[in-house]
Amino acid sequence: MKLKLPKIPKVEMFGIDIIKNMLFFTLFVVVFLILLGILVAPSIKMFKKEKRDYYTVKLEADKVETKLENKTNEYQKLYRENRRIILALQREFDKNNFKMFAKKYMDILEIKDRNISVYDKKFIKKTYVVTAKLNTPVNFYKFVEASKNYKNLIKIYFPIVFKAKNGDIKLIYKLEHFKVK
Amino acid sequence: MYSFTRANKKSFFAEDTKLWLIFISAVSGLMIFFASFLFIKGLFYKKDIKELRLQITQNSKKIEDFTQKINFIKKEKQLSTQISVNNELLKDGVKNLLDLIPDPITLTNIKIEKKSLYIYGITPTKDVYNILLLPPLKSIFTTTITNFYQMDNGWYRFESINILKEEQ
Repeated sequence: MKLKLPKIPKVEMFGIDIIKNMLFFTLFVVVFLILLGILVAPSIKMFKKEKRDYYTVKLEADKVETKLENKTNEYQKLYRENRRIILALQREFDKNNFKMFAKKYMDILEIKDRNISVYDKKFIKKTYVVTAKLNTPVNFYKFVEASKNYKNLIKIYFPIVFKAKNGDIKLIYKLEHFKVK
Repeated sequence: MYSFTRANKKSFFAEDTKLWLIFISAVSGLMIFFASFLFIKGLFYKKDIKELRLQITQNSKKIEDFTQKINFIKKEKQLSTQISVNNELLKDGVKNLLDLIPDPITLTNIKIEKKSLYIYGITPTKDVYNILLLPPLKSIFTTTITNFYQMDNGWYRFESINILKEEQ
């Protein structure tokens, strides 16, 4: 059995098949619209979204980077300015070195370990009792004055005892050494 | 029959059909290319966003670390300043106390505590002590107790206990 398709009439104008060209034009429009709807429009949408997201995130990243740069500079400046203190707080207390340092002002006779405690959660405070001999209390003042340039962070504290002994002064004081925990 | 012209090869598609097919294919190709280009570019953006987010996380962590370090240095500086000030105050305090002792009085022992002062010494007379040393001690401390012990040569050995009850 033969299938009989309806015959499309042939309409020609200046030798151009109008119906065929109209059908091709329709096909073109359909293909164009399908591609536009299926491929191009979602791609544009996705591209625009990603681009917008990218610049939002980029802006945030730039802000964070600038903040990091400022923090780094602030840290480096602070470190440079306080290098002496930072290093002093990292050093262990050396009794012999301390004796050498104090020799200019007094003769250290004894340094007794007293106790160790945590100070302000981040530091360790070691307490010593120092017994020394000196000629005049003026040397004690000079020693306290010089202690701020010592390589460790030390605090001279009460009780302080001055005792006259054989023409000299026996001095007893509490010394606190601070170190990073 | 013989022909002088050779027969033209007949194309499967007519000329205009060919033109249409080429045109539609070209436009479709361009559209696919354009869509692919945008899609790939979008994927690159996506990849960059992922990297930027990672960078933000890392930098935020670094900022947090630096903030902690900065705070710690500030704390160290504060401690150092506090110790310097304490030492300076202690030095001045001891100096001022020892400067209080008048010439006729000789000290044998002095114990300085945070809120108290114990002085042991020798004075020629009780009056010398009471006139020259007692008033400044009374002006500083809330409680002042003095005991005198007469020596063989007539001078007095004294012990002075001074207590500070309030913050000054």
